[in-house]
Amino acid sequence: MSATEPVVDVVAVLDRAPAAEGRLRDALALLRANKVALLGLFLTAIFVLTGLAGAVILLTPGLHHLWEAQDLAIALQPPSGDHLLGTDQYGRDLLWRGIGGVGIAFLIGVGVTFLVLLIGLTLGSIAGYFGRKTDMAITGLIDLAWGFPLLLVAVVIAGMIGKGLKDVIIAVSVILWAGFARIVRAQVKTLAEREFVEAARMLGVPEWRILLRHMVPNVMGSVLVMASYYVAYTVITEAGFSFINLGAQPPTPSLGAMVAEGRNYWSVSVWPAIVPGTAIALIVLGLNSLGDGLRDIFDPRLRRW
Amino acid sequence: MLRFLVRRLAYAIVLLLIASVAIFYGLRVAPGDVTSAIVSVTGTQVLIDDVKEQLGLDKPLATQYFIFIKNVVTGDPGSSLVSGAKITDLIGDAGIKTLKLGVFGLILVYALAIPLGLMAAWWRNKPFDQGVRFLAVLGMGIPNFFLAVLLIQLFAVKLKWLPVAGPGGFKHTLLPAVVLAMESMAVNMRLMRSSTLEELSKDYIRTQRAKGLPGRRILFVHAFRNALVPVVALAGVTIPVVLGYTLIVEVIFRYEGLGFQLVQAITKRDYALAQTLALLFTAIVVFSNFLADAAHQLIDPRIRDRARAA
Amino acid sequence: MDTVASPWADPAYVALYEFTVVRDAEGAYQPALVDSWEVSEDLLTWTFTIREGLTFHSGAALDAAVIAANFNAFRDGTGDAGGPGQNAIFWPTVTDVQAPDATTVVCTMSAPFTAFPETLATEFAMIENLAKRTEVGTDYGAAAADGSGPFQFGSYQPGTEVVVNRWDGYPGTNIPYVSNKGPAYLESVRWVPILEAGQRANEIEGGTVNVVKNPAGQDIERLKGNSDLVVTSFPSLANYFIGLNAQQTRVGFEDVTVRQAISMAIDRKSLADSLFFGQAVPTYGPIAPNFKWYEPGVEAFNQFDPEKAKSLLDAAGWVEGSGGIREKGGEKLSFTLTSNDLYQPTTSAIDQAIVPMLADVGVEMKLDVPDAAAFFPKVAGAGAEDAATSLDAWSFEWLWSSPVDLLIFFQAFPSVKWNGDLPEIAAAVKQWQTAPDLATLEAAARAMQLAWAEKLPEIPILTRNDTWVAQTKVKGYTPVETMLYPLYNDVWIEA
Repeated sequence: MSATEPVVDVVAVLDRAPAAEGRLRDALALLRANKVALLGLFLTAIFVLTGLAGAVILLTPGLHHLWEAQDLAIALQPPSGDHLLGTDQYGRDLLWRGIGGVGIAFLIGVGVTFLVLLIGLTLGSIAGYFGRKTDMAITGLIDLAWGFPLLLVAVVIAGMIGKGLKDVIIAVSVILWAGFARIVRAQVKTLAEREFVEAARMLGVPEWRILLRHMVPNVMGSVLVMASYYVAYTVITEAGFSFINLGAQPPTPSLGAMVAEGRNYWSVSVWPAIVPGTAIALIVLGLNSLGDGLRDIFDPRLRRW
Repeated sequence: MLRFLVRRLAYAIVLLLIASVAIFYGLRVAPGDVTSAIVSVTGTQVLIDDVKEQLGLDKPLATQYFIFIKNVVTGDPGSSLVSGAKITDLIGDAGIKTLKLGVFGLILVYALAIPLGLMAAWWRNKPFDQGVRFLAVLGMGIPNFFLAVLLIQLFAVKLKWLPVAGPGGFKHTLLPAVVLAMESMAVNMRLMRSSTLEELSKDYIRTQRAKGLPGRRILFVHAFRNALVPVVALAGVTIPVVLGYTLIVEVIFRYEGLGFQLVQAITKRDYALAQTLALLFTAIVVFSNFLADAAHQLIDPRIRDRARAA
Repeated sequence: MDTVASPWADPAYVALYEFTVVRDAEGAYQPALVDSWEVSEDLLTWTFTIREGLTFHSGAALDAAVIAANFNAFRDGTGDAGGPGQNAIFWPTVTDVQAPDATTVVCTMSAPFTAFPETLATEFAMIENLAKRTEVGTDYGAAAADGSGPFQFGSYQPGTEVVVNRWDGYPGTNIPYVSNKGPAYLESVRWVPILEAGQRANEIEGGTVNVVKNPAGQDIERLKGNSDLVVTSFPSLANYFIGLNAQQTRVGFEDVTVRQAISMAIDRKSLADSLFFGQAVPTYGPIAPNFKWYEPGVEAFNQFDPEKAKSLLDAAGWVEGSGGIREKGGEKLSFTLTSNDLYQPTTSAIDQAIVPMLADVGVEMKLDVPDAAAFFPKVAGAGAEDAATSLDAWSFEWLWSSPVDLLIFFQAFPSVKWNGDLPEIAAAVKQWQTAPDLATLEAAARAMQLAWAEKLPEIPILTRNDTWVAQTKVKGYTPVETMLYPLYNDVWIEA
């Protein structure tokens, strides 16, 4: 029995366990058995905790000094007792800046994902359920968004509204909802053809109620799985935009911008680039592994695109 | 099948039209304009107006848009506002570099992802499989720009095996192509592995195995073909992703292709060049989606049948 | 790359075009396209004798009439006489230019203008084929360029590369200190921008380029230790400054003591030492100390003294308020600095390092770093004349081969109103533009620096070192402190 691919077994689980409780219990059991997912969960838990701490120091003006305080006299120092991960070119503490950067990643990742899932779930289930013209219109919208290269959108939006986290949020949301809406649409479409929906209709249950009561809960598994992938995706995208100076503007401690600045000082100190770079890699790795684990549990048919 | 293709194609054209409007207006909403790249800081308003008139920037926006579309359709998008170089020449010049980089990247993606994924599924849970899975996790976890920084420091600065930057032959293209390919390679490798596993668990394979067909034959002939379907379907995503990353990778490696040019054109508000390149990128994405759809139709009988039924 | 109208001096200028008069390593003027020049006794007529038999790359004749037409285009601010020349501001004293015969150019002045060769020796007075410029239109300098330098135009892609190829018909130069009197040795020269400072050292070490200008400060010691490379370093013909908009009475920038206090709060030495790893010099006046007429008296001003800064602000009525930010009449001493990374990736980094220095004396400075294309419209575009629509402050790093000319320029830029009413500087400018002799010229330059350092129309911060790193096999490449870019006539690469 493999750690990551309980494919056949999970299908069986899904087939025989429509009750949420039973499914949850099985899910926990499966999670325990899935070492990669556990690692993912562990890393994600650290990400969430660090992210929360980061959010606090970012949003509390009284704590800004932690990641803002400069001291040119101690620039680019290696890790020491005073600065556990060393300092950057302005003599700022890399640990605190890293935590702040994780805070940004966390806020943006969770915020964008929430937005994306909400839009994707709404439009995707409407399209899949009602079909016909509504479906065509929404599918058109999906393909339009899907067709744009994300970076291009970001560059254009950054041009329009100015560089900053706002443009990252908009660009990622504008593109990313479509992928999710696609999946939801396909799933709802299949469900909508099932007998129980037909039966509900005949009983005179209003359409919106069928949609809310029967369709949405059925795709929640996918939502959870996709959520972890999307947070990962958003984190990596935000970092990428900030790396090419489209995202967070200084002195906001974005991980991507920290790598971009830090790499210039590689010959003096590798820490300013390594610390944020590794942080991004660990966050993404954790979220992806968690997503894989969740996928195996909730919806093994859902492939990671 | 034909009806499907025609519909998809019509669809793609509508998409491109909408995209062209978005790109055209999007670029113009941005603060600043191209005259600041051409005219000096001391430039008098006379000089600025002069330049604007010569570049056609004094005309109403809608008129400028239709000129843009007409130019693109007739195959002569005009000249760069900043350099005056013909855009078709620029695209030809930079396009070859990007094509080389992109094709190299895509070859890396598929030449590694497909065999590695296949073999990993075959040797499931063996050290080889674990290695592949580790590589996949790594490839998807490390952001490409960070990977670029690490690879440049290691292979170019420290070991001096490969050039630090600049376009050129195989050696110049290797590092950027690896960076470009890494994530998609990892994703496709995983997909190949899991879809092969899925195939291997199916009844027909079991039957064949029971019939005593050699394992290698089962893997390479039967499972392989079907397992490839999702990978091909994903090409519609893989190609745009690889292409989109050229914007970052070309800038990092000073690989002066289309992505590099596009970023330059946008920061300089060289509308003529930027909108043409942006539209070109979008067109390639839309077109590769179209191709992927078509290919998917061709190789996946289930979809083909469904399309026929519809 | 149009010497009349381009906003910057491309490094390819010195390969494509030629000066009429050029500076040598000491800053003295030497003939280039001219054989000699004479100034009349009343100092109002300058007569240049032009070399005979010169042509442009295209074959068009380069005679006195062509040079006179160039001069007229340079000094034409309106666009009626071949301009508009973007640097007409430096030519106000020249009232008439004539070419009585093929080898003579006569310039008539409204006042003595000893600084004339200084203006002629900038890249923006290099001679180009105006007929070709008219023929090509706005694409001149980008799609084509016609000069008389040792290399002809190859190709140009902004932000990507400039390529020039040897002109085999080059008759050789007149410039005394150039030893190669024939065509160039190099077949072609290619310039590429390497935007990431840290990448520049990597590229020269990796051998993807033969010469690199301005690697990052942190890499220079390492490059010096590399026996395959030759490193040349000296303060550049540049200065990095912060301009406070005197129209912004809201934050008291019209008050010279506020400007002085802000200036004193800046620890220039630590910026130069830490941020630039010693590869920069603090500037207390507007020009770096290696300028031939540098005025050391400026060092009496703008020295780092946070306590003095605080007391000056106190005295000016800006007292400690809530959150550590000073206030006066309910208005916080808080402003936004519009910064840029147009020419050097390090520019906004300096501003970022200054933020906490100002915070220490109770001044809040926020940063705004717009895109390259949006920077100048923001600084000098519509609305710059009005406090309500113009910026609080801006920072900029100029690079110009004639530093005093540049001060004249920046005193009027982005708007005279920005820089306050500074009669001392206006007087020095006038003296410079009408100086009858070198001594007066020098006195004007010194007076201007002193007045600038005291009144601070712009606050000087530092001057980076220009660092040139060449592979040892590159021979004859000699950057000098008085020119932006070295000439390419003598350069060759050892096999």
